[in-house]
Amino acid sequence: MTALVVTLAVVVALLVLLVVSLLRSHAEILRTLHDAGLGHEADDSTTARRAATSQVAPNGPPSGPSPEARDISGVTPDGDAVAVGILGSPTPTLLSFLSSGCLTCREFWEAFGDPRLEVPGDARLVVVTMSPEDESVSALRRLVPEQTLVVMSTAAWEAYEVAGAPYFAYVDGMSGAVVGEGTASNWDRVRDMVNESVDDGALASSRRRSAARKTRAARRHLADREREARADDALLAAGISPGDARLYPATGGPVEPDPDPS
Amino acid sequence: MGALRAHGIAATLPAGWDGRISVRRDGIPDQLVAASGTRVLAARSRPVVHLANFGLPADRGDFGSGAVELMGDGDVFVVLFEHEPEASAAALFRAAGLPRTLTARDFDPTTLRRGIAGQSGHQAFFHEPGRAFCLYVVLGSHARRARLVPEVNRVLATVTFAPSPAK
Repeated sequence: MTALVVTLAVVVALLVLLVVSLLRSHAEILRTLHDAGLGHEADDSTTARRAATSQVAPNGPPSGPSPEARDISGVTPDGDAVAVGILGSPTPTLLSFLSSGCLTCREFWEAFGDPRLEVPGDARLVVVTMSPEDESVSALRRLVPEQTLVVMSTAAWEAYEVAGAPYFAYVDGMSGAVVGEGTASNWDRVRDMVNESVDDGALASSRRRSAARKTRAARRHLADREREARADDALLAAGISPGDARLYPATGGPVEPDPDPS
Repeated sequence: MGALRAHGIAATLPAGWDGRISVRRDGIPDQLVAASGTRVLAARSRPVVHLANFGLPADRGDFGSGAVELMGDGDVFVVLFEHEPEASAAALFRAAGLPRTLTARDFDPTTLRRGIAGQSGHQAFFHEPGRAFCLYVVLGSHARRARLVPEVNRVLATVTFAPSPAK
């Protein structure tokens, strides 16, 4: 009897050990997947947490600096080829990265069907899903409201470094910068996120930086041209004109390109 | 740069350009014979291409109604409208190949399908092997055509056609 009790106790202890190790292993896997940003849908608590911490440009997303803005192209759920110009556009673009399978995204699909929908930041709304090979086209066709521009492009997800849906990027085409980005659990939160990025001056400062870059480039160009003109003047003053053999000490003169290299 | 490719037409767009290649189903009906012997009519689908250096609105007509009203002085809008393949043998489409080097003289405000003050248009008909097209271009400003036409030519240079549309 004692032997039986001892044996049972050992078996129960082993089973408890097994269950604990399985639970730990499961937790490790979940943590690794979460850290890798895998999974198309963040649960509500994660969504709320990210929304609270990763909204606007001055701080950028939690994972690092915002990616540069890029034009996007792909196909629509109806099979049209489509390209959306973002760079240089005077109208900002609000990219909404959604999927057909994400439950949180349902609210956005429904919101986009509302004809009274106001897009914050005077932006043009563009929904971006993954490409047809990574997304259910038939499910999308059921979800996409009429008049909503949808671009199916996994390349766009990669270019904007989007790890999961829903995710939003407020892009200023004039400066070519993502001035606000993050995830959100509802449209009001997206509106707050964009309005904050505008109110905080992220859009204005992005445009100022862009203008300063262009001014520096123009000054460099002018300086190069002035330097070139001064060099030409000095050479002419020394009696050296274009084609002068002294400019080509190695060859004795300008080398004509071979019209027939073969 | 945005790349567009569908229905046997491809284009590479400069930064900031919008584009769309879609099919319309308003062609002359084809008479098809089903396996049962039943004769049915099915509308042929023909591509229409819209290219623009501004944001294309979702609701727009084949020749840009709904879009041209939004154009500013620096905007251009390009349409490639495919007709029935049989039309490629017609005199109207006898010009071979897409005209890729337009000049300011090619544009005229009276060519516009929807006359909007200040704008200018150009229309040309041509054929590619086995396919008949209309090219229609709208400039946001006739006065600025010398600056805008090179923008159009830059895009037209990238357009390619397959001999027959992809099925």
